[in-house]
Amino acid sequence: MIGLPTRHLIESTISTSTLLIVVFVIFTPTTSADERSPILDFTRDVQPIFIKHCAKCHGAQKQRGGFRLDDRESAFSEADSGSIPIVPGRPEESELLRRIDSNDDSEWMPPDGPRLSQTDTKVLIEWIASNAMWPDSGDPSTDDHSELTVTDEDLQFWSFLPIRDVTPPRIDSDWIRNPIDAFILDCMRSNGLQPSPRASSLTLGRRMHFDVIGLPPNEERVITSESPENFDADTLVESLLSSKHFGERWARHWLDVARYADSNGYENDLDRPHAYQYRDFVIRAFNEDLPFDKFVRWQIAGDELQPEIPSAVAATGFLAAGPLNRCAATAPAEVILGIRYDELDDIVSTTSQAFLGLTLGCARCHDHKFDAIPTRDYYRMIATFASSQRQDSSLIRARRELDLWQKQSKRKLLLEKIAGLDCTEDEAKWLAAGPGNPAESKRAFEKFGEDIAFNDKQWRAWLPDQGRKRLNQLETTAKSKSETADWKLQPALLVTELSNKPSEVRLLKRGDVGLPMDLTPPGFLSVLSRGRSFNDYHSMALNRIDGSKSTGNRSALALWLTDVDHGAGPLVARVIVNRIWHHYFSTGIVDTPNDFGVQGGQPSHPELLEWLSAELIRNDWKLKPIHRLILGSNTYRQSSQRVGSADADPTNRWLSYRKSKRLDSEAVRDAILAASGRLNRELYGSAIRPYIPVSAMATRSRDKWPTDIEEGAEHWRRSLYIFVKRSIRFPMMEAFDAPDPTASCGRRVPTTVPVQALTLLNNPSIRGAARGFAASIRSHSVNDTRAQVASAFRRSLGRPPTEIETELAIELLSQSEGDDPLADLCHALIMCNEFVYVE
Amino acid sequence: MQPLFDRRELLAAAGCGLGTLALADLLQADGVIDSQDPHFAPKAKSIIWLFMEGGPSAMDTFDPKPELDRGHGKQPRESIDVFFGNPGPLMRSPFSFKQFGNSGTWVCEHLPNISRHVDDLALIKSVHCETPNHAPAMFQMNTGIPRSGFPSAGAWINYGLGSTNSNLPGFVVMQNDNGSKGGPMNWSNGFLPAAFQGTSFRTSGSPLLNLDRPSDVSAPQQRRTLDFVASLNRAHLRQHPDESDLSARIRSYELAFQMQSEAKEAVDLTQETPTTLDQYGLNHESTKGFGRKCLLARRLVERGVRFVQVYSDGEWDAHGGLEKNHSDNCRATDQPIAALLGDLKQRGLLDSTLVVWGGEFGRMPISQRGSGRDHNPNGFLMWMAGGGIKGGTHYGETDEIGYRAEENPVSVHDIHATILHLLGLDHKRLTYLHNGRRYRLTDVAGNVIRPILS
Repeated sequence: MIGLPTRHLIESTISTSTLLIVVFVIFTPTTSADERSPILDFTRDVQPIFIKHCAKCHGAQKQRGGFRLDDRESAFSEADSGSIPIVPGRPEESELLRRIDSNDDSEWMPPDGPRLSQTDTKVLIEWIASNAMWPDSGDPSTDDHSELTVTDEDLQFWSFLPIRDVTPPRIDSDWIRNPIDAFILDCMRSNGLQPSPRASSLTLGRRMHFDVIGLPPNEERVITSESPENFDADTLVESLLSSKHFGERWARHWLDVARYADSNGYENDLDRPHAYQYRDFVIRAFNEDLPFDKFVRWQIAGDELQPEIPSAVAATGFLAAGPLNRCAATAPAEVILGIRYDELDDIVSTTSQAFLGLTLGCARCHDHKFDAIPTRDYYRMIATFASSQRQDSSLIRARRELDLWQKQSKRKLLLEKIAGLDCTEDEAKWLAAGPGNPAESKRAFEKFGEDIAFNDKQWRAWLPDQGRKRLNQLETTAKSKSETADWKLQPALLVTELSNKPSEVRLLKRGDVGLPMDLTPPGFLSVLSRGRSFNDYHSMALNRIDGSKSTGNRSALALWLTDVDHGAGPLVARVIVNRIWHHYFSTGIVDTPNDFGVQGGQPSHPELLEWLSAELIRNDWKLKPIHRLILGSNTYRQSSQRVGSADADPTNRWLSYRKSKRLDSEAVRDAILAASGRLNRELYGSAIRPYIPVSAMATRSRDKWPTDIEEGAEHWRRSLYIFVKRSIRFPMMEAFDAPDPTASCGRRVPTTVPVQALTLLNNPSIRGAARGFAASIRSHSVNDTRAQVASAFRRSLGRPPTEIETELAIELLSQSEGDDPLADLCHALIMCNEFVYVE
Repeated sequence: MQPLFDRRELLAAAGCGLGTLALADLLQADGVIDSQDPHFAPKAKSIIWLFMEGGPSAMDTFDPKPELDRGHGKQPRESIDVFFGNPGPLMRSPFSFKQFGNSGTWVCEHLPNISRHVDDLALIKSVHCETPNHAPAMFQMNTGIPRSGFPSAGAWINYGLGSTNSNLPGFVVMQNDNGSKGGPMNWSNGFLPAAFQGTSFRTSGSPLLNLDRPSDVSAPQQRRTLDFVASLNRAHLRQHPDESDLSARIRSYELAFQMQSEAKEAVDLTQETPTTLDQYGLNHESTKGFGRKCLLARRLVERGVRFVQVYSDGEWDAHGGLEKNHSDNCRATDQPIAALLGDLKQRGLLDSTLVVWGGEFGRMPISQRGSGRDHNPNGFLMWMAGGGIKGGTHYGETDEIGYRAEENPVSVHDIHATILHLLGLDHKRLTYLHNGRRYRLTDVAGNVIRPILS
């Protein structure tokens, strides 16, 4: 006879059979759907109960009592005690029900943690009474037998294959300037289309400026372009590709992918004053045409692959750029562990999307539903990064090693001192976390702060002989230089390892930190591994790095990622080539730049993508040759005037004309600054904080946005340098669709909203720029009204005004009642569609 | 997708002030949405979400626990893992409670005005969430996921339904005076198009950024400038007949021009009667802040704003001094909320407006720092009123000390599913393709809480 639940609603005098009758009456399917769902679903209703309350002791890791509740056969069979946990259809014989309801503390289940709730108990009774339906295939990650295994067939998916050797189609046409045109023309013709005429020199000049360097052509350039015979596109291409502004423009594209920000996010949203070193690395890398495979490897493991190269170390800021949460030192262990897994998840998800175009993050809780990525592969990648930590330290190797060694040693001393205190466990946690705001922290430091404090001298005295020797060594090597403005001497937010001891990572059932399963060693994606194992890459890595201070896992990953023959290299090449194509043509060859998996787009021109990827590798992974090919093609140089009707190719998949595009947020602001003559073209350095109104800067972060800003040259640098604070979105950037930097963004979605119009119409910084624009025209000794109008048009729209436009403009000027009519005209031009659209 | 330019060109040629072309049309032109119709007949047209930031305590507001009185000072039976460590013994509520209305709803002594409306409220006493940490819990309450980067409920609803007044944002947020924890990540569009993000409204002066003309521009000057721009834009459009976003952008300037006046009108309280201002508490120091926000919320939904979220100014986050903290916060919000409910009712708006009340989590039955309560995500209380809600109902229970949701536990996904349902949306059908997956506000969970629906 089952003991009955004694809480609340059901009186203890009701007999078992009455209870079951009650249960059946309530839960028969004739109950109206409005009241409650009459049909229990194992995966939805029952399994979560087992997972939450039972799986730790009766599951994959342990089988207390000799049975498992994550396995149907085991749950329905006799356990060690001789009774059967679950007898389908017979709740009164099911030992599980007896145990969860028992009042005998030597028997009740679960022995620790909360008892099952009223509702859960009812669910189990009813489920067993209705014959305990338990489907064959539950969620793959909860049933070890049906875990996804990667097959040879999976390796045949188009984006996972090695690069095919493709020859451009042979077509007889003088429209073909390079192989890109051959592939494109071939497809166009197959679809009954022909190319559009070439763009005018004015149009092409403006387009190339914005696409390549993100800035408008200056007035002199525009005037030159007005005479087509003076305009040479190829010369312009070379000039733009070698401009220092090229790196800035393309860095901003990459920062979208890298989910870059200058602050932590979440509640405290502390600033990251040294995160900018990563951004500068990216600018430099693109300007110097750092081979892309190096670009990849340095961002993953530059700190250990090239510890002597400051840029390579700064590159690891890629891993640290994501949001970072914090919590009370005394928060439950699962909360703290959860935060660490979230941090690693951000790194793994971003790495896979950025370089592989794969949504590995989906496999955090279960095998990927579409791509051949088992959840085990996800946890292998987590394990690969698990022993790495973010650090704020020096880019100079010797100083970094000294700095990190000191930090570790001082921490050891601190923990020793705390251990020697007569304090509670909670107080110890607060002290170990360093001084903070919560009252508990303050109280702990009031009581014990003095006892755990130590100065530099005391620390040195505490060091054992070996330690003192080591410190001496490190300090000698570091050979202090006087601080200069040299960026290499400024600290950076970087990622590195402090020892070669691997961190333990367990596969988490359903991604739940409360359900750790098997230990998982580091590794990579099975579906992108051909003939080389993790150990192979790991050995190669250990040959190159200092294995005494690092597990070498990240270096191994870096090598696998860029291995063309046996690793992920082919996919990495395809993904980056596609990103470049996307930024020139508004759509990639694969229109989902961050998804090259089953759910992603199919390439519109697969042969072209192969050829370009191979070309990248042939050019030692340098990107500028790809830019050059695109810019040199006639495909790129078409006008925005279609030949033929739109119906033949409504989305322009076959690239038979140039689709106009709206400037992205940074380019809008940069173009306004450039036109106004205010643009400060200085590169690099700490992020800037231009003016935003007080009402836009409410934040809980103690790192506030300054309120007393009077804008000047330092604020008029390119928008790329604006401080990206997660809790304070810069209004103008947000208005023009800058992405949320929480996650990798492969493709911005431009929208057209009144807030954009309001910004251009009324924003005081924009108005100021319009006035500056007018002043700048006048300061170039342009005093004749017609000439002023012409200058304003050239600097904003990149072309001279037509006669009608000149008349309209002069009319506007004459009607103006303000103190600076020319500013009104300049302001108007900034608001025109033509200003923000590039043909 | 059909280009809309023909219609627009015609309209544009007719001059300006062309009525309210919905934002939806702009976005359809962008190719960003297909249509914005509800899935079935909605009960509510708008929602006002009163977000009690910091986490109000259920056992000190609407869910008294006699067991806490009995057990005051004693250790609870099971050990409770708290956020800030150092868990104290069980702590009784410092407030006294009475029952009100036909529903016999318990209300604490510091919410006398709300107590008169209990028969309009549906209390949900068994809400739970996944984290005891403020910002992640706020993200979860707003977006369904305890991490940043996901679209908030307001963004999803505007994506699904649009707004009926294109001269005002469809999703308005009136923040905590100190800034809400996590900030704009709470009303973000996430991976949905940026058009759907929440717009922060200031409660006095110019509510939105950039509504005021620059000081050196007169109204006629602005109009002339816009006309000049429109002329150039129309000529440009004739050369690019295929580009539908160009005509959308032309329209957006007209909408912006109208928004300048309409947004300011919406927050102009000089139109309200002195009685109304008094009812909302605008004449008293303690209630005027929140009162103003509630009154603005009513005006905004009157004017067709789809989703208004109002954050409390104080923090309900009473880690110590619960008695003062909660009596202050109750005083600041009690009269305004009651005035809002009464005002909506009186204007016939309550039936079409869903009102939601609650914080990001609740509070513990045991004491912290001797006089406060730590964060409690395991069981807390929210209530709903208005469109489609059956007033005077109670759903769910926590255990006898108010620690954990026991009977009919309600997840945040369930709350969201219910809200979407009342607005005419099936939470399983409102999806967006991103990263190869059809995301939805309720992730892969969520059940509509039917017993509280009328």
